[in-house]
Amino acid sequence: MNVVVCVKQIPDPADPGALDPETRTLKRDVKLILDESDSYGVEMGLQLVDAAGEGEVRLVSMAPNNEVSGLRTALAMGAESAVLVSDEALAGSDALSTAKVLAAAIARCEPDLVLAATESSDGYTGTVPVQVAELMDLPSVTFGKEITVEGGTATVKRQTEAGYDEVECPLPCVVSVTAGVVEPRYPSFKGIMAAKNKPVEELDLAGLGIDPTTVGWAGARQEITEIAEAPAREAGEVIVDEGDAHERILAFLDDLKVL
Amino acid sequence: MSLLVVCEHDRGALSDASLEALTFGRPLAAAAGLELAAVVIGEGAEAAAAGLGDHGAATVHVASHPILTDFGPEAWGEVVAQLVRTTGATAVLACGTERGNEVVAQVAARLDQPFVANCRSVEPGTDGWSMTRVQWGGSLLEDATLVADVHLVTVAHHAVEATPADAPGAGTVAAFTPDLDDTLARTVVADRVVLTQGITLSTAPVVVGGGRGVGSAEAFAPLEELAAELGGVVGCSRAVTNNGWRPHSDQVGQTGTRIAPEIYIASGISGAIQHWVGAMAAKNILAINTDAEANMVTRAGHAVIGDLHQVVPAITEEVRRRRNS
Repeated sequence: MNVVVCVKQIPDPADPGALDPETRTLKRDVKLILDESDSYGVEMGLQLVDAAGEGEVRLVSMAPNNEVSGLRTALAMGAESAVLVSDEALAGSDALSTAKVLAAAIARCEPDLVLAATESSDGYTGTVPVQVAELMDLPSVTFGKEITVEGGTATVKRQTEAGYDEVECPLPCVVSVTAGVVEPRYPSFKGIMAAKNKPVEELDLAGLGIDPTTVGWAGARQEITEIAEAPAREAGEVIVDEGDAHERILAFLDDLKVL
Repeated sequence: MSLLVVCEHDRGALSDASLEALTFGRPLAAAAGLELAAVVIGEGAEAAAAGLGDHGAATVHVASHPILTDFGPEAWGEVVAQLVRTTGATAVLACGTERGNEVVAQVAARLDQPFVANCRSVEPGTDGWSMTRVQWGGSLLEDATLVADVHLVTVAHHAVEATPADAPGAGTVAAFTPDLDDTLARTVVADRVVLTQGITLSTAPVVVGGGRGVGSAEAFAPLEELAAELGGVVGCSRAVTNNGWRPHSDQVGQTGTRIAPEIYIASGISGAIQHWVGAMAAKNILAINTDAEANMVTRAGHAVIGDLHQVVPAITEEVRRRRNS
């Protein structure tokens, strides 16, 4: 069973870096890391390949500047190889452009199953996986918390508000997985060393046969005019507890009519 | 020409999120000079359609087809795309819930149109629509201008409060039979499993949250008691699920559940950005923490600097004492 996992390399959420006043986007020339949301998909892919007893996990990523450090993390976890699409013309790509590029790169891998995170930590629109599926004309299931594969059918537990739906879907298909449903393995020392020599195929748009005017800033039909830090919620009333804080909290709860 | 609002429902029960989208769509349609239309899809759609006029819809498209039963994102996306082509709608709006974003993403791929998700504000204009959306879990606001044949937008969940229209729309029901083939029913819902009854984390009016400061699985008992007294539920931070003290289903945050209670009592939670994303829609936040510099404390409307192990039981006791007096 061959699984492709889409991974995104993002600025470290703990230190997202500065805004670029010129492009009005986050500067991405900082060190990028594997989006933690994606580590769940990598783990799930590795478990499915283990269960199947054959096949491998390949990574597909799109990044500026040929960034590979996030990919190396996922390779160290156990993925076999990676395809990285980098091209200057990709800067400014919106979700649909990103989906077009990923779909073209994934198609080359001829996977049985494509996994992606439900949403990235930075943009978090959650639109790319379903668009990839639609562009590849594959069925998709979102919010997967458990996947089992048997005889050409994937059975996915799709998270719902009150529990889950059990969804059946023929392979190949695209499944987006929710965070926290499996415990991503830590790369072992051996894994880290091995990852250094695992193949990362680097492609540009020409290599994928994509017209550069249809993606990136050129292809985006939206222009970002401004980006700013959201006004922080102002700190409110602070009480230092001297054994009577609960009384003041009660008065507050009373005001809110939650009692 | 119209602004088409995609309304979510579960076998006829309309979601509040859909009414938020209609509430947000009313002034937008008026400003853009578009008719406000709604679409409801699948089994129970007719029941869900009733009353949408009260929320401002002039026309309600009720889509039915043998393969349309429960929610299926591909089929729903195709229905909306076909409806856009048939009616000449120039804008599609949904609430930025998981389903809303998924359906509009499908529509975007089918119509090859750009899609702007999770907007806080949208202003139509002749040289494109300007919109403000949130990124990095609400810590960044991005202004963008969208130039498209069909404007595809979702409004951030909880960005507006759903209210009926001052001037109701006609709510005229228009039956729509889409042309769908079986490939759209490739994904089949075989079973629906309900794990939680009654209020859930995402709908609870009160959430009592606990973080690393709680200290252990057992130490959540006083939080459970307080939540029960206030008619709420317990939530937690990632540190807690990582330690195995609570299941992931209790986790509030970007990789957990987004909550929007009347009040969020965050005890022993430092307030990392990923947690804040899940909690920021709370109308009121009360932080209880020994650390006056914790993010949660500096962002909360009300904060108590103190030990949650004393403060939380004291609140519960006080609530009970008042009830009994």
